[in-house]
Amino acid sequence: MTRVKFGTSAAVLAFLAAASPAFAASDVCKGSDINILMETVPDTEALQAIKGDFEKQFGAKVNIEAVNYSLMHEKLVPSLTAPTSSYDVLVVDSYWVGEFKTAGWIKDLDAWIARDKIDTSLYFPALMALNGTVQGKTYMLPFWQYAMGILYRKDIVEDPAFQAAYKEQFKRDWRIPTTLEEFAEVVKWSGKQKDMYGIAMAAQRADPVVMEATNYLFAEGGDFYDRKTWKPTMDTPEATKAVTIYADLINNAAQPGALGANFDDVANTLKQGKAIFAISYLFLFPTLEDPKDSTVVGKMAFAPVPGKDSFLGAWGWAVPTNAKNPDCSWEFLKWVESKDVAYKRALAGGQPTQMWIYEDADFIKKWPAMSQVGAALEHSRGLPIMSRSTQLVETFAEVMGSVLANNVPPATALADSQDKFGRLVKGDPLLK
Amino acid sequence: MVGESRWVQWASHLILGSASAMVLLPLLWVLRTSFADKVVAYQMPPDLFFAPTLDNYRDVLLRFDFGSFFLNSLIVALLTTAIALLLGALAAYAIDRFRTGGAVMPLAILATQMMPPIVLVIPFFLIFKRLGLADTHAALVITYLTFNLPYVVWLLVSFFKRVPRELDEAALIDGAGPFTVFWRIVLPAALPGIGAAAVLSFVLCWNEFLFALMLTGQQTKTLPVAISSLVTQQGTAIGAVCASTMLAIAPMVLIYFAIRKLLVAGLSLGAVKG
Repeated sequence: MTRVKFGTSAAVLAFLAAASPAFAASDVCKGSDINILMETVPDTEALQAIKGDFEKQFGAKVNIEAVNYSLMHEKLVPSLTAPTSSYDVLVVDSYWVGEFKTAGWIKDLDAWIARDKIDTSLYFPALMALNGTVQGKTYMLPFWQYAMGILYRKDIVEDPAFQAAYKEQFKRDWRIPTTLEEFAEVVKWSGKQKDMYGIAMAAQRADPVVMEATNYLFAEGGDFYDRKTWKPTMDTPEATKAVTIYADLINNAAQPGALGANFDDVANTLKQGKAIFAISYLFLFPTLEDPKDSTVVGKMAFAPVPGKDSFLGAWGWAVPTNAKNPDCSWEFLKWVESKDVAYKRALAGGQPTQMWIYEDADFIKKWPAMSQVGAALEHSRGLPIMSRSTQLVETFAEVMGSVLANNVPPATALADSQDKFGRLVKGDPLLK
Repeated sequence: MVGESRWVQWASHLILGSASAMVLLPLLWVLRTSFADKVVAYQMPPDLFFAPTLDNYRDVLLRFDFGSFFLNSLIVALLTTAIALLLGALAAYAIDRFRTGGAVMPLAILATQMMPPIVLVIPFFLIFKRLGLADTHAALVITYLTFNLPYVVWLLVSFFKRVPRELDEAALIDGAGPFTVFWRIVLPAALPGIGAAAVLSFVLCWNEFLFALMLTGQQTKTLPVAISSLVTQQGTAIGAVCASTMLAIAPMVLIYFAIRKLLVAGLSLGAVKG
């Protein structure tokens, strides 16, 4: 009798122990608030539409505050320095990662990942490297990618008359340019040929010009630093050529006012049917394909940046170290990146980061341009993960400003900037 | 002489007209864009004649939760203005009539405005967070009072100066106490000044962006912060921005028309007759 009683008790205890994670998950969030600061993008709208599912399942309230991107960093930093954060889940842009990690503002997720057996191999390796792991530890789950490449008018370049003129000019059959130099030639010629702007560009300081010009830098095989020794490499022939080509296109092929233009202006120039090419974001496609917004519906296509690599940016979900209820924050991360929820967000126009979604026929049917993401990510890289990435962007913006606005020769501007770039990496604990 | 006078008139009208156009044209453009769809809004060269649409106003009022943001702005602006007028009027009366704080007081009050506001953003944020007032109307009201009150006091001191002391003395002789003099004699005489101070305080609160951004969340977001979220990385909803802007400036226009007679009357507040 005693043995039976003992056996029954043991079985009950074993059952309760096995079931306890499920009970703990809903318990840990009950009555909590999950406050998130997000950018005004389709993923945010998609999340607003489905957050009720999380609220029902976990008994928590999800409050999403959507603001313009340029205001996010200002809002986040005071919150992260306070004893408890105003935000329970963070979305971290790729060039804040170093700053946030060095400042100790984001939690290491590895223990949770191991406990809950989260499969991070679902994500593109390039995105895990950019907005996932830092120095071998996982601090984020990739949320949103902003791959860049050539957006172009396929109706123009596929027109037989255009291709015949192209063959006469360049003595070869039409092809998407394979080098940056060829791209610049084709852009300038196409603009004159069609009496349009060859390219729509965004040279506004600081974020727009840096995001765009970094594509040119990486395409030429240049980089800000040697990523092993962290010596600045902006005075190389590759960097000089990239900046020279950029300046040439601004002066000879871009739309008027390109010096002060941002991505919105690039999108509008394309949507108004004024430009043939742009090097910009894949995420512009939904707006380019919106008949309420665009005169070029069905006429745009995407191709990888010509040359070596393109620029890649991304956002990642993170848990702030001063979160009120970090366990609940983690439950939200798991839920929002679960296959089901990630897929819903993708169908709503988001920029998914899990590889399997790009192989889904329904997703590609709804968003055909997304079929190019794999190709774009294969040859792409982000800004270096360093504590002073924001200052890196400012410094490169200064260089571009002096070349474009003050007509300083690119080689001079880049050589003069070497010291500044060098100072940015001094003593950085992330670069050891 | 008559010819010269006409020439001067024409020149004055031209200058005033040009200056008015410089101020009004951007506003008229915003009004025009608020009735344009996205294709028309960004068209270059622009189409001056197009079929207007109410879609932007519909989006703003129905999808954008404009009502909540408007209410937040209104609550904060009205509360701040009411408290600023009450405290400011009392302070101005004390400074003007009783020389409270001596000659240095007016300067001391203004000295608080010498600091760039951005210096105070993070300290205010941390203080309100500690007090549990983050994302509340109270945080914004307290913050705006620190900026508005000095200006209100200064403005009201100058208006109270214009109210003859003889009126105070007459009332005192008749048995009125200092507070009665303030409430029944000085305040009514300085009504244009109160109106001007109210408008100044309201406008400063209504348009303020930096502290509203840092101290509010989704529940207490004010109009300037909310409208800025219509500018996204994937495009600016320019029609919605323009429609929100027109709706946001409507209270200012109404206030102006409501009190402009009061403001004009204040300009002619004269000196005591000898």
